[in-house]
Amino acid sequence: MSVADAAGLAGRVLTEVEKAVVGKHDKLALVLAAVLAKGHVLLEDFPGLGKTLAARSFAQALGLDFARAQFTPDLLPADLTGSFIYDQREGRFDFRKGPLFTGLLLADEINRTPPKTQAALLEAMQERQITIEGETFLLPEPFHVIATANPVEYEGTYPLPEAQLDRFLLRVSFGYPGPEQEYDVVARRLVRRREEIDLDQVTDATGVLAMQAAVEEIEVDASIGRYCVDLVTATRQHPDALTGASPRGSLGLVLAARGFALLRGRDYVIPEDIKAVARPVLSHRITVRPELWMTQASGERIVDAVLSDVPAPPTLGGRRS
Amino acid sequence: MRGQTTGGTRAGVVAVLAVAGLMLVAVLAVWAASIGRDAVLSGDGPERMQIDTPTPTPTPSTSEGPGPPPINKLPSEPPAFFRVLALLVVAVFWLLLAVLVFFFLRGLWRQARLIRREAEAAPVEIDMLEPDQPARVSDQMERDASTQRALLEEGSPRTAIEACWHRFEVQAGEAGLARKSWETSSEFTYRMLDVVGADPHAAFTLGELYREARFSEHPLGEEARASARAALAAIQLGPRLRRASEEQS
Repeated sequence: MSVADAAGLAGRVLTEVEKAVVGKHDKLALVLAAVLAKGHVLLEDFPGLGKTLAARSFAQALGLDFARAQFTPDLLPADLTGSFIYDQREGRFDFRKGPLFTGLLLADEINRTPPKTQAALLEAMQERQITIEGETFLLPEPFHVIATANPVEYEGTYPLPEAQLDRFLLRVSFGYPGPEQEYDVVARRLVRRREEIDLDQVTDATGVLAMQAAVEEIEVDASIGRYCVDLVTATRQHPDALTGASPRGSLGLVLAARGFALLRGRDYVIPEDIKAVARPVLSHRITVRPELWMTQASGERIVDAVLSDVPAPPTLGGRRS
Repeated sequence: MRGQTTGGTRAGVVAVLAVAGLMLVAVLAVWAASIGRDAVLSGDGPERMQIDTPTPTPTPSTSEGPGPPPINKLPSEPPAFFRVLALLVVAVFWLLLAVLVFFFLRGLWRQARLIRREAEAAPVEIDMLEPDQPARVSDQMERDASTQRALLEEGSPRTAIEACWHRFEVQAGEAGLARKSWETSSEFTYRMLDVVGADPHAAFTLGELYREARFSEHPLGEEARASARAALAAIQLGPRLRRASEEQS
């Protein structure tokens, strides 16, 4: 699949999802860019802003198997991965797959489950395989996790540690809609006369893999790669940061920017792509100094600061062709 | 990193002091419990007074009565080690309290300083254009127009388009409008062309061609140069029209 074809297909997916999630084009584009870049997404937002709806809509439009795991305090790793069950008739143990064996997993309220279960999920996200009792099971291709977290509830929650947050390519917040958009949500529901929203399947797992392969063809100029590294290095040197983004942050910037470029129909990345994805890619990878927790300092502000400080790639590339 | 280490050392010292103080109190409590209440409170103890109550007399009739009852002082000095220990406990308590107050006040002071620094470090940056800047940029663009057109005809389409776009930065720089280091070339040039009121569609077209020339790897043909030529002509028309309207008015 060419980049232009992949861009057209991705555009149709986005249009379909926007039938369900109103007025969030830019945020949805970021989520799709992450999926195209083979990444996982953390949707962190207040309740009722369409996180679950967005995940389900993407699964429908992308034609991926969809599973939802509600992360509760009593959820065990085996509830996600699956486990061996004894088959009395056959006299042997059979593996019964858990919800991880799907195309798109919605990990709802991921911060409500203890670290042991979080770790099991995050390991699967990283390795794209799970090992149970010495036997390794490969997860299906493509496999993506869209996790949600509620930032306002603290009691009975287990915030993800920085090392595990790093596994998410992007952290996106939808935010509240404007009055017009909110009315649009109400009006559409009234016109629909029922709660469910039917979305057309735009592509399937094979199509998603083809789009992901097209993303791999997108060129990244050396000056852009160095710009990403400079941005990430600057987060480590910022006075408000206890720990900045890791090298996985540089890689995440480049990968997410390639997905973003594909959505724009380009087979090359421009510095503006990097700026567009820098906040969602880097802010959750930065730990603010503890003495600044009562101030306005945040990962987002540190990213904004480094974007306003690090020199952009030069105008002339110095190539002759 | 050094600041972090120093902070860690201080926190360690505070923790050690706090633990030592608590341990001392705990040891004293255990000691007191092990020897029993009587032993702790044995010895002279605080001064105790004994008041002899007079036996009631049936007929108090005269003014020369029995008078106030005599007070007998009992020997009540506590043992020396108990007083030393008590003093020690009180001293440790006050020391811990002082340390806690010190760290609390220092925390408050740091907090206030950080908030002040934050407010000072993030001034609202407003890009103020000098009144004659649009005219200066426009004049410079007009003076440099032929050179820019010539650059677009030199070499391969890729290098020609890059050089042509870069020329806008040169023109702006000579007119006193400098590119900020963190600004991308496109961000700056769109800003500059906006200042002179250039045709936005043409600016966008030339900008897209520049990005393709600068950052893509695929071949770029003569049709890209032709598109760039047309876009540049439309952009360069802006300053000329501007001058014409100024001369008329």
